[in-house]
Amino acid sequence: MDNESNPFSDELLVEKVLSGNTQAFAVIVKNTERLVAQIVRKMITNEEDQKDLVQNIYLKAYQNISSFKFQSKLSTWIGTIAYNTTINYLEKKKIPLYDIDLMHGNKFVHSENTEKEIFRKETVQILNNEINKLPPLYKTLISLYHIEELSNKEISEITNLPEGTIKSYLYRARKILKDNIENNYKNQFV
Amino acid sequence: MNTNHLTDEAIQDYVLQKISDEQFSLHISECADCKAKMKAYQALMNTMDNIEPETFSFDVTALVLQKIEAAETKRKTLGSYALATILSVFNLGVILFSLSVIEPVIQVFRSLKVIDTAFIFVSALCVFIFLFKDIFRQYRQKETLLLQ
Repeated sequence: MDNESNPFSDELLVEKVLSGNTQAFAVIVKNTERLVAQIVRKMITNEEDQKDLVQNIYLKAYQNISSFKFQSKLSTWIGTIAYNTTINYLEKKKIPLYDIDLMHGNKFVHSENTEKEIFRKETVQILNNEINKLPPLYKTLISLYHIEELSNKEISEITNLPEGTIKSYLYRARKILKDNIENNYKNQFV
Repeated sequence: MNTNHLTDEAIQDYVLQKISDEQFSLHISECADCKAKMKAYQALMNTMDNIEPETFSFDVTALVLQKIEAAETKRKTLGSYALATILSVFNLGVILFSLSVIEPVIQVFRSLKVIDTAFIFVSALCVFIFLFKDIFRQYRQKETLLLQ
């Protein structure tokens, strides 16, 4: 991650890629793979689709790297490509980006074994499950902010959404998570 | 009891340490509802800190380099086809253009006796074979030099 924040390193890598060094691009892929995973994996669950998307994302980055003007970090630029490509995919598949009705008051059904199962689960897994029930955009924003620890400004650059909107979506997403966990797991999560 | 509760947004900011207001702290300490909410958000944020970042279950670098290589090959192949098409069109143009020029040359050959034409043809063929043999010999020499 340190390499990513070093603009010289970005410049050097881009220069090498432009001179036809594909191994330099492999380094870029390694450096940005985690960020791309947070975006793609949170929005797309099918592994074959993930493979196609990742290939398309990096191919676009490779073919358009000459247009990268170092106005942001290289990772942010690739994050933007990843976000836009994934959003286009979801739109083609007609999957709603933020359908609150889908998840509020969610469809958690208590079975006989549920209680036992809940107690066996780690809190992290519970939270992960709840995050995965969020709409695609909320999942991605939560991942980028809390797991990748990006700032609202960086997320705004990637998603092209205003910072205010991102803040508002994050508030809502956290509230949904808290409410759902309180409703479904009660004392498990304290 | 204080019924003027804090908003969820404010409590989240407080937990994320984006605001530190004494009145706010005081309210939290007095209001059981807001305190409970704050604890719930605290638990949520603490757990989020422990979530491992997701990774792909496949080798992204290998997959991407494979795709890039395929795209580059395709681009080069398309380029070769485009070049071949342009050259073919150019050659066709040259042939069509030279039809008018070549007619007098054909007339010269027609006016000659068969033996003269055969003599010219055999001479030209000999020169061609000689040149081709020389080019081939040079090529073999270079190949031997490079493989030493």
